[in-house]
Amino acid sequence: MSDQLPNPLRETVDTIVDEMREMSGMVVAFSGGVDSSVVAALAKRALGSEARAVTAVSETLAGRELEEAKEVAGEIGITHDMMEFSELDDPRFKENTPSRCFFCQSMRFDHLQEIAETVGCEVLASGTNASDAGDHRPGLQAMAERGVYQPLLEYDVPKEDVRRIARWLGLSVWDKPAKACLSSRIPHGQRVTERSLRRVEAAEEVLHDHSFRQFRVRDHDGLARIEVAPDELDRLMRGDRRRSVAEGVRAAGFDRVVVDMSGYRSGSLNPAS
Amino acid sequence: MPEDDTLSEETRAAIRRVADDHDLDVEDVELTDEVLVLHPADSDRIPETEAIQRLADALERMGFRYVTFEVDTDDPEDS
Repeated sequence: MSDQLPNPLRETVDTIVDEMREMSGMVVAFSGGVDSSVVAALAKRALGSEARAVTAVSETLAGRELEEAKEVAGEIGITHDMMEFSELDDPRFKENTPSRCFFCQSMRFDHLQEIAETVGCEVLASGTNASDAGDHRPGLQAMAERGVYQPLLEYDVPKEDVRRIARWLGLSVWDKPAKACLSSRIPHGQRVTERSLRRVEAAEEVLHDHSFRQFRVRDHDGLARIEVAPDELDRLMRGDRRRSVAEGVRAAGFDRVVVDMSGYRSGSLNPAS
Repeated sequence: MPEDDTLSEETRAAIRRVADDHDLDVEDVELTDEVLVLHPADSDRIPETEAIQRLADALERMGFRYVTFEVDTDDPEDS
């Protein structure tokens, strides 16, 4: 662990760990992002081998994300299982209405619940934090309906504090940019297909290969709208890099490539308020 | 936001004026699926980020949800 964790955040962490110790076992829905990594690390600390992380492997998870999840589970030292399922089996998900996340998370947590029961864990947990509560997140309702344990939400821990905890725990993902599921790149009303998910994944690999840090490739029916962090916009727009990125994104399967002038915005495809 | 994917000549002219005010020479504009696409006259003369974002803000205030640049893949030396 690095540095000191200031109070009252340290007290919150201790309270969560104490609460977890009262449980006989826990399955953590584990994406390998900073939020679920913190919950997994605290569960490991509280419950030892009775804590396990499970990553839902489906069409909406980028291959790179899965590899990074495996790495961070290794760092934590927690038992890590994969659970394969397909969101595309559900026509309501493919329709891509504003309720898409509700259907997805319902399927995901039903499958995870089965795993938890199989291994005898009484609690299913997620890394939802206090900063998630104000956004358009119909998936939160699916979790609430299933009684998912969400300590970072329940103890009102915002994202910036989740990162502080992660850093204090020595997790390498403490400053990892948020990476929502790939279907979040597809505007509501436009069907989610295997083809669109794969071209988004391939296009985002192009940006990753060019060392961009915070980005999304939004799929407007074959038009790729690239969002990068504002402080990376200049680098994207200059000469050869711009052309190289555009060529790569087209090669991923897009017909046209545009750059969003406002830069990266979390949830930019959510319904307009 | 305009009702459909067509822009009137007046709107196009207004967008060009706003872009010009932010030091961007725009050759053409189009609207497709809520995405406003500006075609810069010279892709190698794009203003700095702050100016780009001020321009995006101005166009968003006109009702456009996503304000973007078209990105060319042609090497200017080949054209």
